[in-house]
Amino acid sequence: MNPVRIIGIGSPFGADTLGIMAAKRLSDSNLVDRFPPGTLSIRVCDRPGVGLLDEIRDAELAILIDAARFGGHTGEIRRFTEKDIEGAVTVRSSHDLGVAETLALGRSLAALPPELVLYGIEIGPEGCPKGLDEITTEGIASLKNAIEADIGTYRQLTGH
Amino acid sequence: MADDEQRIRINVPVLARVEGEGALDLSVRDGRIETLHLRIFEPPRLFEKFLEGRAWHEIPDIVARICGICPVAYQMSAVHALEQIFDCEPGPWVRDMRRLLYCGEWIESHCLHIHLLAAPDFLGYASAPEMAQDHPAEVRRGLRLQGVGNALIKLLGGRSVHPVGVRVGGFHHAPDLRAIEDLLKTLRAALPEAEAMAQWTATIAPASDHSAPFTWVALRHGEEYPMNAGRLVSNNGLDIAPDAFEAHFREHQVPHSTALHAHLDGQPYLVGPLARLNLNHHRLPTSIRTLIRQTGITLPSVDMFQSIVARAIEVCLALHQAIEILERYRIPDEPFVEVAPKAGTGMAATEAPRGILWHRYETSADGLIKQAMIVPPTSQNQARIEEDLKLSLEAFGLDRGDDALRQQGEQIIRNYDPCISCATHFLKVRVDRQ
Repeated sequence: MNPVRIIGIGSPFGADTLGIMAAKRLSDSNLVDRFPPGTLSIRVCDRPGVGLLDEIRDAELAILIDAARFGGHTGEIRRFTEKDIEGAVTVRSSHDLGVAETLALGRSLAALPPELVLYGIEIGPEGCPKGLDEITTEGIASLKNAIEADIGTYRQLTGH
Repeated sequence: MADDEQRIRINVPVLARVEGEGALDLSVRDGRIETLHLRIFEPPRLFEKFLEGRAWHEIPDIVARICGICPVAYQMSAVHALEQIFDCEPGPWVRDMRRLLYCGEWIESHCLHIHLLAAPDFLGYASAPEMAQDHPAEVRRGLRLQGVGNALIKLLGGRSVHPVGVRVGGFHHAPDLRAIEDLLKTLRAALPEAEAMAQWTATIAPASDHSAPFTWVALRHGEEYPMNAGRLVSNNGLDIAPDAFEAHFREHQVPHSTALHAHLDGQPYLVGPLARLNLNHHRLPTSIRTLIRQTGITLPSVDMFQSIVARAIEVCLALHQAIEILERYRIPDEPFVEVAPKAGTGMAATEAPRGILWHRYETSADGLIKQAMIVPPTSQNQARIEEDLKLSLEAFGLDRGDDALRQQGEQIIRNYDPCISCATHFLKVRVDRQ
């Protein structure tokens, strides 16, 4: 399993597609090839629930991308550390856990990677009606640059 | 208000950790509950109307979208009802694989409920992550078992969320032998873990506040613990074919809820794991019956909090059955039989993790859906939940503080694992034109 994993999270519907679509754009770019073979993988997950813990198990750096509401402008991409997400609530459901609750569960079980970041894509108050059109080409480029910086820092620290 | 009267009004504006949107209104007068309303305000999803005009072969994939936790149940009830119309008999291989797929869903859904919902309630935690700090081994075990259920669904469904492998007449593909061998090892390793989980659930389930008798209903099959087939039976003498469902079961709207309530011959009733176990424990394999004795649960049980034990026992049964089915697995010539659509009406009931899921379809000669009706287990349990709430809260003590009553009420509701999003009914509208 690759030590660095990018995981786009969401569903095929409406604004919830944003994390998945952004990960697919990154996958279509040359991002994986910019690092030694076996370093980085990019996956998409359709509403993984607690299965997210399986996706990030034994990773050294997990980079999650998901649609979010954080008060930014529609389509804005913002970086959150694992510490930032602590205490957040994403769903009120008996049936599965949202990303924040799943990460809280992983924290309780000591099952999180040493490094974890989440890139939230703001869906806005109207639910991002134009879907991925709301994310500009510049937005995806800036996401790619930020992730490259995350991976660069990880490689410097670990020597990988 | 007279001095000797005491009126309390409790409003729980949002039910935490319940799938969908709901609330509870409670009015107490002179130490008795005067009115109790479980208000469901999840908007109707109109799925039955979406199905009208769709082709027969589209139905399994569409109904799988009704619920993210029990998509297999919706697929199974749909294909059985449609195959009844088309006089289609897919044969023993497909029957086995459908049972295997259902085993996966029971394992996955029950383990989620046990570890994310019931156990935190019974052990006094606000959430599963909080409970996991003190009980990490039990939660890890639960997640492993849930993963086994997901792997079974993925084997036949292609993916564990909204699986796509089911078709009317069978499956789109047959798993290869290597996949079967790998999964068999996983299932054999999981069975002792599930048995330990069942023992653990028996130690954490609290005793119910009351032991009033009530009616429970489940499928019963002549040879096996029911999943995909059987007659509808109750502890009060009901014994009918699924085709006769509408003659005995009535759904009706109540003013305070968008979810329909259901009655059996005018009375609330329970569906789900405890109802199934109460009515079918004699159909369990010997090893599972031994496990039941070890847990100390006495059947039939009127203690709704024993539902967590019933779920855990059904996880063990599902693993046991899945191992049996995979041990005799062979690759078929074709994983499906061809289907010739025709006009007609078909009905089927299967046992979703939360209880009986009844479907009825009417098709045209070319197999388009003219009318669909879906009765999910949550709407069947709504009236029973209100009945249980009233009895339980009065026994719990209405002189307790509002927070205590709210917490107890939430725990009682969550114990039924209501899936309000699955309440698929199209609301009836009366138009007054002058």
